[in-house]
Formats: sequence, C-alpha cells, structure tokens
Amino acid sequence: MMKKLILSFFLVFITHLFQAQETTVTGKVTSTADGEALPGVSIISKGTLKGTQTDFDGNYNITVEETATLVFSYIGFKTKEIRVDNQTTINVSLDDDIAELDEVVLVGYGSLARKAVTSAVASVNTEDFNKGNINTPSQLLQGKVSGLNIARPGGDPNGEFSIRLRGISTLGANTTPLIVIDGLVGGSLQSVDPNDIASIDVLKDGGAAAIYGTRGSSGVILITTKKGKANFSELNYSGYATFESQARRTEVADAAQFSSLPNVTSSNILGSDTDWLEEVSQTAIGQVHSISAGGGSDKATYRASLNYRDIEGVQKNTGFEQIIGRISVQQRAINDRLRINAVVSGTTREEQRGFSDAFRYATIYNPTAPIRNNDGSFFETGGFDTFNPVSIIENNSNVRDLQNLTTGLNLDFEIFKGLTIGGYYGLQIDNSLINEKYNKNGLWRGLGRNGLLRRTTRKDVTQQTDFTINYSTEIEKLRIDVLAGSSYQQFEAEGTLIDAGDFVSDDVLDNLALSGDVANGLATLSSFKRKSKLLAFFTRVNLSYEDTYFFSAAVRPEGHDRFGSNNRWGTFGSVSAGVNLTNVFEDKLGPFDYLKFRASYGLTGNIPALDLIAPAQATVGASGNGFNNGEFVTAFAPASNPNPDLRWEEKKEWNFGLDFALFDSKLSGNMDYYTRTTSGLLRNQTVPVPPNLFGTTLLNVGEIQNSGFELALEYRAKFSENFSWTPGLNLATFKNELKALDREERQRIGSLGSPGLGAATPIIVEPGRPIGDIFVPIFNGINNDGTWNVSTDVDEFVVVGNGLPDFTLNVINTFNYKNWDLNFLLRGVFGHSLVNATRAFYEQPNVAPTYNVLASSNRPELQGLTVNESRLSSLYVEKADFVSLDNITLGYNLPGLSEDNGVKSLRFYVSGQNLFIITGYEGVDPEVRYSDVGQAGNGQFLTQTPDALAPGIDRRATWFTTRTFTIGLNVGF
Amino acid sequence: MYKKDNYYKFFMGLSVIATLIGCDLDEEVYTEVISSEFGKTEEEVSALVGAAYSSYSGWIGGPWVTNVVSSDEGIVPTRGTDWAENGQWARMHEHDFNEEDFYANFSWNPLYSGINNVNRIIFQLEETGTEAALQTVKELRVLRAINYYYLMDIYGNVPLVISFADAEENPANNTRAEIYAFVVSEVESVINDLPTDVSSTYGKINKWTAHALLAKVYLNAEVYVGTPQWEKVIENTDAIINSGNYNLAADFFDNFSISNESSPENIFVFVYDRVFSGGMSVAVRTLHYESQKTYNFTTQPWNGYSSLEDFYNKFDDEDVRKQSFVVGPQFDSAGDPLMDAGAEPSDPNGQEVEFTPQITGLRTALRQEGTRIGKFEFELGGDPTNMSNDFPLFRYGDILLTKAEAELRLGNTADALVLVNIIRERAGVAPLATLTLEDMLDERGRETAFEGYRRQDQIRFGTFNDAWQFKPADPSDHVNIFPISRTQLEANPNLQQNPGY
Repeated sequence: MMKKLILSFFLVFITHLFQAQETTVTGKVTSTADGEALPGVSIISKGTLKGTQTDFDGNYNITVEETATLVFSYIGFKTKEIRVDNQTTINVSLDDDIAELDEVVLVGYGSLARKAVTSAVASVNTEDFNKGNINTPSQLLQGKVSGLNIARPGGDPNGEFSIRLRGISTLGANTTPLIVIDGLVGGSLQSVDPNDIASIDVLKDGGAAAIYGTRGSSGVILITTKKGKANFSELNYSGYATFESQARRTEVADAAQFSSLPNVTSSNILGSDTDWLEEVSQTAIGQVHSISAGGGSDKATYRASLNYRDIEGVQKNTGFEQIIGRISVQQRAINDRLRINAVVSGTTREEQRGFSDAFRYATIYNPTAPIRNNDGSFFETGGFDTFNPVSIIENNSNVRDLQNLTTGLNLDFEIFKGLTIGGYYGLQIDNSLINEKYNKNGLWRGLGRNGLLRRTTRKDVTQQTDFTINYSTEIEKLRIDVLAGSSYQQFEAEGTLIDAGDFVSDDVLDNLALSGDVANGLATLSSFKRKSKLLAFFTRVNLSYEDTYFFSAAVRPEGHDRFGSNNRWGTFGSVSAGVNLTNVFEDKLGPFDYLKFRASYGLTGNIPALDLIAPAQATVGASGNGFNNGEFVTAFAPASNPNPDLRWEEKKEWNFGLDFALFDSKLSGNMDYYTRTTSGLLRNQTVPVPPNLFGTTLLNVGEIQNSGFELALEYRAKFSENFSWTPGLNLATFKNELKALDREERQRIGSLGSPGLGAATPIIVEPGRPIGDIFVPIFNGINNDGTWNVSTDVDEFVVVGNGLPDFTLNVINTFNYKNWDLNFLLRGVFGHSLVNATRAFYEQPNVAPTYNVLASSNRPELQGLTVNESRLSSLYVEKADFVSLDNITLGYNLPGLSEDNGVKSLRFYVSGQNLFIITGYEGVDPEVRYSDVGQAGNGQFLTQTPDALAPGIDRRATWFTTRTFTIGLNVGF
Repeated sequence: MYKKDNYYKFFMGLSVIATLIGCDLDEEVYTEVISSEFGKTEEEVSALVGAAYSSYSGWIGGPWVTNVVSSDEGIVPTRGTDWAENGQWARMHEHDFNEEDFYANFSWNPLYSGINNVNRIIFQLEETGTEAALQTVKELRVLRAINYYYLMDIYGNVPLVISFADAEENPANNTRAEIYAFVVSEVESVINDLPTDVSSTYGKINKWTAHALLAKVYLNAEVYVGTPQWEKVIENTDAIINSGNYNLAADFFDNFSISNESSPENIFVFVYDRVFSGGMSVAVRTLHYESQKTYNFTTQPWNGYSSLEDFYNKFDDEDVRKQSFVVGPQFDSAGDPLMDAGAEPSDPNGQEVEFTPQITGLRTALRQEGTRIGKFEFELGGDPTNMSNDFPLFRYGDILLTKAEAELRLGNTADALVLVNIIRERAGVAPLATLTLEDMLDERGRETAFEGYRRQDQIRFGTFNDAWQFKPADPSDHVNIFPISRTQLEANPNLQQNPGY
C-alpha cells in the first residue's frame, strides 16, 4: 500500500507538456445579466498549466496554442469553455449560476447535482467556512447551516464541541451526527486539519441519511478533503497568529467586599488582596502554519499538506501543539476506466489540558488569602471543597497525547459505459494517552495520596470495507442511476487505567515501579477490550425525468453483533421526490427564477457508542472478592443481562422543502419543515433485581418527537463593479417532546452536588414533556426568620424553563470592495434557560467565610437571609438567549500578481471572534449546555458520561469565555 | 409470518455471502465472559460462590445507615450548606419518611442484589449436582435468609423471590408474616447440616450463624407477626453459648479493631479489607474534613454523621464503651491542634477543631458539633472509605444480651441480671442490682451502639415513636417500616407501597 502511494506520488512529476504554435488572445469578460465587467475571472488553457485572471476592467490576455480551449470560471457564474481556433480576440459573457444548481452535492456513496437532490442536504464550501482561529473542523460550520448547532461553552482549547442537528432525537444512543470523512464512516475529527477541508455536506433529513442506515438518525456530516487539481500546480502557505483573552468571567467579591460579609470575622481576613481568577488565567497566544502543494496531470493528481498548530489556552499552562500531515493521490488508468484515490493522514497532538476546577476554586477562594506562605509553599485554608487554585495549576499536570493514522484506498472501475464497480478500504487508528500527575504537596488531589499518577490509555481501530456497483443510463428523457453495495465495519477498542499513589519524590511519577501503592497492592489497575461489527447492504435508485421530476429511493438492511439474536438485522430506507416547478409552469411563477418542491420520508436507526452497549448475551465479570478459607478469591458475578430482544432505535422522518431563486436569481434559498419520531429509544434502564441478574439493562423504552422549520436565504447584491454585498441568514426552530417511556416514569436528574445540593435535581424527565424541562420550586423571597421562602414539597415545583433552544438565527454578511472583503457572522440562540449552579451555591453572603461569594450576593432579593444553607429555586434559573458576533474578518488581496512575479496570490486578513455577546444571562457563558457533564467536588474525579437527558445545567467548573484576535496571511505560489 | 421468515432468510443468505468474504456478526466478548461459558472449573465455581459474599460492599451505605440515622443514636445534621440535601437527612431523623427521598432506597438494592446473587448461584450449583455443591447451597440459603430478615425488618412487605429459573419479571409484595415464615423455615430446614467448625468458616455461614439469625428473628417475632417467641430465643442463644466456641473478648474494642478477625466474639462478620473488599466507610462518613490530618487518611472525610448528646450521656464516664465516641479537641498526627479555617464565627471553640456533644439544631449545626462514631478503629494512613475492620453482624456479646432480654421478658430477672452484669463487668462499670426493660434497652444501646441494632431495639421496646432530640413524637407507627422507594415502584409496577405512605 505504502509503496504504491510513493509510486503514484512520483508519477505526477512525469507530466510535462509543451506546445508548438502559439498565439496571443485578448478579450473582455462581462456578466450576461448586467453587462458589467468581471474582474478576477480565472482563465486556464484546458489541459495545461497556463492560466491568468482578468484585471479590474475585465480584460485579459494570454498566450496559448492555436488549438487550445480556454476555460473561464468565476464564483457565482457558470463556467464556460471556448476553443481559440485562431481567434485573437475573444469576448465572453458569463451566465449567473442560478442557485448554484450545477454544484455537486455529496449524498453518501456518491454525488448528485444540486438540482436533482430531493432531500434536505446543506453544503458548505471553503469560501463560506468560518475564518479566524479555527482549530477543529466543527468550528468551520458554526452558524452556517440552519438546524445545525455547534456549541462549546467556555474557552477551553481542548474542549469538545457538542454538535446537534435538528435537536435531540435519542436518549441513550449517539446524539452527535455521524461523521464521514472521505468515505470513512465514523471518521475521527482529529484526523483532519480545517485547512485541508474542501467542503462539508450535511445530510439533514431521514431521506438523505437513510443510506447510512443505523447511524443516520442524528444526521450525517460528510467531510471532503482537498485534492490536487489536474494541470494546475499550486503551492500555498497560510499562517496566522492569535491573541485570546478573557471575555466574560464570574464576578466575585473582592477583598473589601468579602471582609464586610456578615459571617466574616477578623480571623478570616488574611491580609492579602488576591484576584484568584486573574492568577490562574493568561492572554493566550497561538500560531498556526500550513503548507500545501498540489498539482498533477490529466492522469494523476496529488496534494500534500502539513499543518502545525501551537495554541495556548486562557488558563495558565494549557494549550496544545498539533501536527497533521495529509497526502492524497488520484490516478486514472486503463483509458481512464480505472480510477484510484488514496489518502493517508497522520495526526499527533499534545494537549496541556489543565484543570477546569481551577476556575471553580478561583471563584470561591478567600480573596484575602495569599497565594503562598512565607516559606514559599502554597497557602491552603483547608476544609471541604476549597483549594488554592494557583496550587492546582502549578502543582499538577494533565497531559493528553493523541495520535491518529487514517488511510483509505478507493478503486472505481468502469466495466462499460454506465456501469462502474467500486471498492473501498479504510483504516483508522486512534491512540490516546493521558497522564495526570498530582504533586504530593498539593492538597487538592496529591497530598492524601502522597503523590498520584493516573494514566489512561486507549486505542481505537476502525476498519471498513465497502463494495459498490453503480449503473447509470438514460432512456429518452429519463435518467436512471442505480447504486448497490455492501459495507462491513469492525470496531475495536482497548484501554487501561492506572491509578497509583505514594511516591517518594514527585520527580518519579513516570515510574510506576516506584509507587508505594503498586508495591502494596493499593493501586487500581484495570483494562478492557471491546470489539463490535456492523454489516450492511444498501441500494439506491435515483430517477430524473426531463430535469423536472426527481425521485429517489434507498434501502439499507444492516446487522450489528450487539443486537439480540431475535433482532440482529434492521432495515432502513427512504423515499423522496421533487419537482422543478419552474420547468412545469414555465414563466407563470412571478418573480421566481427557480422553484423546486421536494418531500422525503426516511427511516433511520441509531445505536449507542460502542463503549456503552453491553453484549447481547448475558456475561459475568469480576465483582470484588469473596472470602474463602481465610483468603480472598476473585468473585465473578453477572455484568450484563441477556438481551435477545434488543433492537435498533428507529427514527421516522418526513421532510418537506422548497428550493428557490428569485429576483434575477439574486435572492436564493431554501426552506424545510420536518417532523421526526424516534421510537424504540435505547436506554440503560433500571430493572428489578431479582429476577434480573444485573440492575440495569439496555432496553428499547420510549419515543421522542421532534419537529422544526428551517430557512436559509442569501442575497447577492452588486452595487457596482467594485462593490458587492452578500447578506445571508439562516434560522431554525426546534420543538421536541418525550412521547413515551416504557413506564409512566418521572425522573429528576442533574444533581447539583455537594455541599448541600446533592438532592437538588433540576431537570425533569417525564413522558409528555419536552426534554430539558427545568423543574424547581419558586423563589418567594426570604421569610421573616431569615430562612428561604422556597418550598421543599415536590408537588409545588414548577417548570420555569427549558435547557434546549427554541430557535436559532444566524446572520452572515459578506462585503467585497475592490480587493477588500469583509464578512461577519452574528449567531443568535434563543429560548433556552440555564441553571446557574455557581449562583445557586455561592450567591448568598452567608456561605462566607467558608467560600468566597459572588459580587452579586448583595442583590436585594436576598436581603434578610440569615441561614447559610443554599437552596435551589427559580432564582437561579435564567433565560440564556444570546446574540454574539461570532466572527468578523477583514481581508485584503494584493492585486496585480501573476505567476510571472513568482507569487500568484497574497492575502492579508485580521479576524475577531466573539467580539461581543448580548445576553441577559449572568453566568459566564449563555451557550447551550447540550448535555450534562456532571460534577465532582472536593478533588474527586469526574466519572459520569455526559448525559443528553439533562441539558441546561451550567456547572461550577466552566472556563471563561474568550475573545480572540487573529492576524493572518495566505500566499499562493 | 411466513413472509417475514423469508425476508430474514434473504438477509441470512446475504450474511452467508458476507461470511465467505470475511465478514461475520458473531459476537466477540472481551474483558467479561459469556455466562454460559463460565463455571466449568472448580476455580470458576469458587469465583461464582465468592460473589454471594462480595455483595456486602453496600452494607454500610444501606442497612447500616438506615438503622443508625433513623434511631436515637445517630444524626446527620445540616452544617451550613453541607448535608442540607433538600432536607432529606433531617426528614430521616424526624421520621418524616416519604418515597421520594433517598433513604427509602438505601437498603433495597444492597439486600436484593445479594438475594439475586444467591438465587443465581444456587441455580448454578444445583445444575452441577455434586455433593460439595449441594452443601454450599445450604449455606447460601441461610445467607439469603439474612437478607430477607433485614428486608422484613426495614421494609416489612417485600417480594419473596427464591428461584432463579422461575423468577417473575415483576414480583408482587409478600406480607411481612410470609417473609417471617420463610426465614424461619428456611433456616430450620438446613441448620443441622451446616458446618460447625468456626475457624474454617470465618466470614461464611456456619451452624452458629444460623442460630444467631434465628435468635434475632425470634427476638423480634412480636413486632413482625404479633406473637412473641422468647423461649425460642433462649433455645437458639443457648445453642451458641453451649457450643463452647465463643467467649467475650477481654478488650471490648478487640471486636472493632482493624485486625478484629481474631476476636473470639465473631459469629458472623462481613470481611472488609482496604485492598480486597471495600465499602467499610464509617470513618469517611463521620469524621471532620480536617481529621484527614489526624489519621493521615488518603482522602478527606465528609464531616457528616454524629451521635446525639442524650445518647452520649447514657454512658458513664468510667464505661470503657464510652470510647465508641470521638469527642473533644482534635490534633493532627504531629500532635498540633487541628485547625478548621472554615469554622463558623459563632463556633465557641474557634478554628481549633473540637467535637462537642451538643448540637445547635438538626438544620443549623456548626461544623465541629456532635460526637463522632469512633467505635471502629481508624487506621493511620488508611483509606477512610475502605477500612479494613471486619463488620460484626452477629457477635457473642449481643447474643448474651439477646438471651438476657428473653429471660427478662419471661420474668426470669435473676438469670437476665447475671448475663447483663457479665457484659457490664467487661465494660468496667458496676453491676446492676435490678433490671427493668428500660435498663435493658439502655444496656443494649451502650453495648451495641453503631452496630446497626438501635432502630430494631427501639421498635421492640416501643420507644421508636417517642420524641427525642430534634425529633417530635411520631403521629403514627407506620414509620416503623420504611416506604418503598419510588425508584423501585417505578421499576416494578406490581409493587405495592407500604401502608401509611
């Protein structure tokens, strides 16, 4: 495989063409619609490396072979090809590309012209991606696709983004859309640098996603990486530097305010004035450099890139360093009937992850305390859940090393015209090693253990083998495309966890042999291995009649080894149809230049992540030790219940949509309405013991219904030759209801934790309600005796908000003036509320001096409170609607460059992210908390897996939000 | 149906093709073992039986907490914001029980998971049918009966499930009387076949464990079914006493030390160990945060469970058993006073940690208030969540008092006094000359404090519904059994809630 790649790589250098008879062609390029000259139109002599661009007045000149064909291309216009045929002047007018109808859209195991698509598919290309300090592929899309929400509360550079498409349609299975990278299903976002992505297609509805069967329910995101272009060689460098600083932080009582709190006495005032939040944070500086080279001939193309990122986090001692290399090679052989496409990418990343707890304790640490004692050691007050935050970040480290290796090889062979067979093999290996080191003098975690090392390793290997057959034909006006294929995927995961303490010196934490815990049998060691398999067959038929009537149907039976023997196979599929009304009604559609109606119905499935699904057969596993004849023996007890009836989660979705263009195609867009019902919801359910062996079983228990409306609009206004403005917006509404659970069960979850609010569970889960309802007692003020006037009777609790948004509205604007461009994205999310846990614990003056309090603890509502008990109530549930200026970028392209100068293009830009946010929310970040990460206090470790059933809780350990400025440069040679 | 079959045959056919090209969907399980493939060797069988005893990791957080905190020996006061937990601990203390609160569920899962384990293991052992296996079954039946005895004691009316193969999915409640009858007959049917050797059965069921269980069940027979069984209590305690296997330990605290396995009083213990068998968590529950520095613990304790001043005052100063409490000023391991920077300004002792018997209020306690539970020795450098002290479920000292109570209730006060005074002598306090029921309850309180008997004793002696510190008198005695937790009612629709809830 590797040899072959290298071979292909060299082939691209053997492609030198030369011409004999040359002539110089001049001319002017204009727009057909308004006759205006078009500057910057790319003109290439087809099949050669020769190329140029039009100047400001739309003029060009190029010297080419007399028999050459010139290719004129410009964004937003249809590409035109003209043979030279001895002409010396060629004036060209380009037609508007109506609603980008000729754009090709990926639809899974193939592509389709935009005009033939009958389901809800959104595409975002390089020019539309978010710019600035973008370090992961998901950031490229934030705010760009209606119904697709991407959120990362706080500014943790190593934090993961939650991705939700059309809300939440599962409880226990995957809530994140399926990621497909160059055909690899379940590709790791870690394997792609944002700079290497050419386009992203989002399959929104069941009609589109059904071809991915069991994993399509939460939507599908198809990522296509950049490839080399035939006869066009390029060498690009892009680099930028970023400066990231605190945007919003928790405002806490300063030394003076703290000293005046009712319970604070002279013994609590320790003489310093420390801004703990400032002490643990920094202005983060980052640098990113990318180099890519690409080119090739008609027979073979290549592209190679290397991306380096060195990003700091706003918490001191945090950040990451990452290198991603990628090589892709395409080659044609046997009279172009065989097409080979090979990709290799490698990632290495080292994360300094820091500790979000440092922010938690910086918020509540005594502001009169010094950072260090006179002897240089860290000052500690001691007590429950209070630790010197500077000691946390200085004494300890939390480093994760990641490696990813992905390779894919795709072969397509055209047996005869119209019939192509294909094969694909993909392999992805992810390795992760986390080393957490806790200093033996650090009270937070290390002291009690006399130094502590926690080492977590994990390896994931995914292999995928696909076979496909494509047949295309045209029978008179009917075009038929048929796809059939199979896909087999195998997932393996292995990992170990080591928790060992008691070291003589902090310098030897890397050497487990020196751990006293290991020597004394007190260390915790565990390991696991899991393997599971998916096998699918699929077929799809696309019909297109007169480019006016479109129809598509797909079926995908799929089996998974973890499903019960009775229901191992599920069948998924879709039917969709569309009609181009412009063609049907010709000119009777008023201002509409283009109008297409489409409808789809899709049945898709969902399964939990491999880690969360127990074997279908009953198993036994180690369960402590039994005592027998004076010694302990390892005991084995059930680890899972048998589950022969477990079946796939199923989502049925209707989608109705319109694609349109009007006013000379200046205004284009689409709108969709969907309604989806997920049934057989998978969930780990408590079951009675006995008769069950094990207390929980993964069961098909319920039903969720989601519906929503989505609209995307874009207007291309061109005011003059030099100035154009393209405003766009997209909006989406979300509505969901948990229709049923196996039993009419009411659950209250999302415990706020210690001290004292472990029983405060704000999120209610109950059939008939939307997911994420916040159910708390009403705050009725303070009683005369100084206690809370807040009911503890559950019957008096009410729903005061919901953690999930009702709608999102994103506004995108692009301005072009001569060589300048400016674009910005306003992102608005509305209708969600958050439980502000920080306020619930610390916004009342009486918890001092044990904890510092929020600056807002003097609010009038709390006047007269004398108890120091915290009580969760409606007082701490806040509306969290927000609008933020997510991104604004100003760029300048240096004019007058051509290949002759040695530099083809040069662009400078400055970019700002999160320059402002408008919100009434008092906490740090009003961003939606799509799942609950849980909480662990007092130095304990978080063990909970994020719970999608409990959205809307803003936990105490949230990073600051940040504001980022970027200056960057792109050069093309 | 026919059609559907064909349909699946089609996919089966496809999967055959897939197998030929190297794909299959046979489940491969690692890390765990598929049940049907386990239990084939003697070592594996032993591992399965071990699970019957390994389920006691939840004992302290379950039945122990239930019995200690709802009685007059224990309290989890709200200290500032700590332990407020929406008032649940306070309601537990006040007997304001309801099915929503967490204590309703404390004991259910630990006890039923033990029962479920035993049912399954019995099923597996009976399948093998060897003599050794069938002998083990008899021991496990008694172990299961212990769990039903606790379920009967705490929840009253619970489902009786004793078969693995024929278990119903959602079993309905049995009555308390039915559980009582089951426990008695189950134990009596096997008692004469149980091993009698003490040392080889440490931590496991032997004949004397069975007698101790019967003695405790009969002792409370009047509570459970309305008919006292005092003679049967004496019959069973005598069997233990006359076996000659047990003595009082010279030092009372030998029963609760880190190496208490050598105590001659142990009849049945849960074997706990910091490394092998965790869950003995009394230290972490009761001691102050700063006490970590007194004992160099690996983790910080929670500053929760305390005892009540009135209970503490039932102990004479010369009573060695008074050392069951941790009280007074506290010091770190170097001998310096323990400092609590978070102490309330109103704390009369300031930042120097001092455990005081008095507590300001159930919902308004100060951080340092309340005597702490020090009966089980704290290991220096130990893990307060996983202590190595074995937990004595049945102990000879308690058996002597159990017999004494039966004698007293039968009117044989002189016989009872002899036994009570043996216990008092060991404790270093003067013998009693007379003995009332109240004396008996108090003596039991001093001897068996924090061993998980207090609630049961108070119910039997009729004081459980009285008012005591921070608790009003109960308006009704329905609180003598706990409500079944909402979690369980939802998981099993056939479960009925106990009367009064």
